Amino acid sequence: MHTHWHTEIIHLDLSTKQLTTNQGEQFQFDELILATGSRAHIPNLPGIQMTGVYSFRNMKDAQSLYSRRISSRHTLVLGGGLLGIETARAMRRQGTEVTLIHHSAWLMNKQLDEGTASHLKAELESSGITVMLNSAILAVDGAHRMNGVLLRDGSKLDADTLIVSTGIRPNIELARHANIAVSRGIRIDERLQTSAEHVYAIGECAEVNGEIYGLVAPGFEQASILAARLSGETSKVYAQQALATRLKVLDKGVSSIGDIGMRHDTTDSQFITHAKQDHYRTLRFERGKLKGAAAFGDWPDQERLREVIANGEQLNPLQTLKFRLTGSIWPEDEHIQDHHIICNCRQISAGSLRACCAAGKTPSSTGAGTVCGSCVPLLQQFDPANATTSVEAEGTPALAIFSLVALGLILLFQFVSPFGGPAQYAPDAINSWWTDSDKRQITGFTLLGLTVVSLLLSARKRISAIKLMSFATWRWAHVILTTLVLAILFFHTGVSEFQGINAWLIYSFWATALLGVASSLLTHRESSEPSVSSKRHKRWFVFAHIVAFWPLPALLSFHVLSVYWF
Amino acid sequence: MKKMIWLLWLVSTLMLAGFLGYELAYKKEKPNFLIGQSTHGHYQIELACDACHTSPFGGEDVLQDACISCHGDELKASLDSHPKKKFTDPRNADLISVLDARQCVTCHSEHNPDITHPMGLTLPEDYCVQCHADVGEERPTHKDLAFETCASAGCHNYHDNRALYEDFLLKHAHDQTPSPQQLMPSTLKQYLASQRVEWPMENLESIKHHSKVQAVTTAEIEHDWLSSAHGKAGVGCNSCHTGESSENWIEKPDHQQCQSCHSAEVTGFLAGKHGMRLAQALSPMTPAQARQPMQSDAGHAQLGCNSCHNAHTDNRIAASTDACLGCHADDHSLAFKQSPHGQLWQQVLNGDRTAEEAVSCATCHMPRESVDHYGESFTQVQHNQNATLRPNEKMIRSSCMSCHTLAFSIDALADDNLINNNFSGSPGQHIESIDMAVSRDVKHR
Repeated sequence: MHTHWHTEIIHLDLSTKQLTTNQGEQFQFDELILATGSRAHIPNLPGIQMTGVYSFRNMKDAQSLYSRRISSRHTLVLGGGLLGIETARAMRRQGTEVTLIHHSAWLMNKQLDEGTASHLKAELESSGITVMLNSAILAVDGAHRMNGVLLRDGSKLDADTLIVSTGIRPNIELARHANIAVSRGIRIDERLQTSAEHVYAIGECAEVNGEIYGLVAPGFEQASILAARLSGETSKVYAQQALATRLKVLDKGVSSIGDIGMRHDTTDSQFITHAKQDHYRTLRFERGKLKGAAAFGDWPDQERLREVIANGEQLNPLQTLKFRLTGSIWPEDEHIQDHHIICNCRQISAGSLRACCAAGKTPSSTGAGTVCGSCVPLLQQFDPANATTSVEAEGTPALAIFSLVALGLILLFQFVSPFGGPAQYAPDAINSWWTDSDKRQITGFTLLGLTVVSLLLSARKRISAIKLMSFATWRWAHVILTTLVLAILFFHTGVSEFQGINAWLIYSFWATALLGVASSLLTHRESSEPSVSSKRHKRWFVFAHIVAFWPLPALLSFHVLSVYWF
Repeated sequence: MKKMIWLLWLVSTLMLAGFLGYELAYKKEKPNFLIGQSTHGHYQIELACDACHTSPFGGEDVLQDACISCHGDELKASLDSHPKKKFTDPRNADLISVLDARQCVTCHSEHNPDITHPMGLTLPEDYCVQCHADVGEERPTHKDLAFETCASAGCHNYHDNRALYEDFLLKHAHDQTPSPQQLMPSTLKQYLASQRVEWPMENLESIKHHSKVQAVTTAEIEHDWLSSAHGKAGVGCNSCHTGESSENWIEKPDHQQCQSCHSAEVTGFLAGKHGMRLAQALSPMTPAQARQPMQSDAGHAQLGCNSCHNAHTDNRIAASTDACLGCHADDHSLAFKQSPHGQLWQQVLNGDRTAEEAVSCATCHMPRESVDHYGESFTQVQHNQNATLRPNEKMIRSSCMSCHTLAFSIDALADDNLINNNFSGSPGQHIESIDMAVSRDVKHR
């Protein structure tokens, strides 16, 4: 590869595939890639050539602006796009007043909706920058040096510096002289080829379907696709992506995804927004279909959202509802953060696990994964080297099936009518199980015993001295015994109606059982797709399971007491 | 955090236990410990657990005592066909294994709405067959009768068969329709004397000495009182409106005041559905609490002596029907006025007939009974409206047979439709009790 510094191509002859440089050299080419870039667009205003008017495009501009920043008392920035905003922000210092002049109704009107932009404006104003919207400069005032500008509304603004950031102009002159099709930029197709064979254009000088991208990301993408094509992968084409810009403005993230902005602020647009102190998020729907999104402040969902919008997928109503309520669409878990609890049993967070691994110890030395073991798959992410920690076969599908049996029993209880007594006199009829006091004591104490034994699971989890058998075995026993409890309840009660503490008691039983069923099913899911979110959901359900059990000891004691009392 | 949660659990559990424990041990009414709806006989007092469960951890004996303390006299009076002593007799020890009838709760267990049959029976209804399967051998008429027919009206009851015994049936098998028998009420003076009640005679002058009486008495009250039995017997304001000392003025005398003279009536009232809540020191019964249909505008009336008996008049005519119909709104009650009984009563209201020759609600439900007391015989009204109600054959001897034959009475009381329309029409079915008794009697002779 040869690089010719300080060399400009001044002529391009397509018929001979020859180009001439300003050094007088001539080159023959097979394929030609035009990446001529762009220059700052300087509007043709009276007085624009005066001293004190700057553009912000290259290193030289940066250097002169840097020194200007010290001496300026009042700096005007023309153009409320990304660059304008950053420039205004950079020029702002103690003693330098900065005014941002923007022609449109809101800032960054190509990328943002009005609501997001107004948050951005508020943020700018709070940092001391004056923002003038719906305004434009008619002329620059001054003799040799500028001393002010004349605005569109006729007023005059005193200022010593004007920085023009009104967008870019693609460098298309070379192409135009060679009779390559141009409009605002050099027109290219999906193969990135210009109207001439073997001549391509990428970057800010290129125009795809009328769009010129002034950002670096599309340029990189075009470059990599073109490189692939030229090295033989001709199947690769440049598909215009739903443009996602993730910008840093004023140290705050600003996102713009898909079709959003003033151009898309049409009457058939619907916006759903979520505002919180540190963020403002908008989804734009067109006739009910998600088309774009914008946000001020960080938005973890934006990468996934970009994919959804790019693929033309839709959000389901639940996700929309979740966005309305919480501002996020998907659980933000997939990255395990330090505060996430990895081991529910021992309450070990990801942070302490990382610290432990950093110290060269195995994650299990914290006690994580030594109780129920359901977090072992996750633990391996912390310590891939020691991924040998044995994961027991949990038999969780069977666990799930058993939970569904329990669920069936609970539901059955609700829909079966009371068993009642036998139709004919028979001392040992099956009905005597729920009418005979002796037999009810048998079933009653069996229930009590099974409940107490089931509770030992809790002890196994909380008391680390108990190491007998694996937790999974205990959980199995727990599920089987409690399902048995539900079955025996049919006999103990005869499915009669419940009143007073007996009603509370049975509600507590059912609620505990239902939440237990949910916990088991989540355990089952967790083993097949371990993630922090299923972990968190399981933690909630197990906690609710325990809360539902909360009043049971007192109620059960009084149930037993009252039976003998009366 | 963990410790806090455990502490929270402990504190809330103790609070719950305290709440329940207080209710269990100290509260009169214990709604949280009611385990199931009670039967029609006990629902009024179901929250006063102590009424039957008189002492904690008492078990079956306490319950048995509780049953007997309320229903024992009645069982004795009814010549109980299956008394406890029949089952404690060693010769019948084998019967206990079939049916342990030593305990009331064997057949009448409470709070079990799912298995409760009429009469509060909680056994399967074929329980008779367990001992009497061979009834057909001795009585061919009973051969192949299904068990449902045993206890149907007009045949057998487990306890009270006074109107159904074979001898009784035979004795009245050929009765002609009797002419109404009258039991004339004695005067109040005679009544009070028979009760050995002494009271200071009061008259219009003496009652005015009390300052409170002067303050509250109106001409209307004075007139009502003077024309009432109380006025004629000299039972004045102070007799009811003052307690131990004459200074202790009682604005609204309750059943306890009435009881000092009318103890038998008040005892009956407290034993029946109208007074059973008062007997348990609960708030008075109101129609709103009743399970039967009641007049909606009477919902909050509180039942006491004065609900039926006006305070200063002694209008027995109003008390015996109008008072009842002011609250009760079931089919039987609503049909009364159009019924033959009600038409007779209308004649009384019109002044064409004496009350003794007609039928009011009270004639059947609060019948006059001849009672021997202190060696004298006199008439008194049974104020327990339930005494003759269930099973309804009880009413045959106390009321029906005053005007109707036994055979007609048995048939009429066995007909539910007839009961609902308040006996407008003839019995729709014939109960063969008397025929069976007669055919067997002929054979034996």
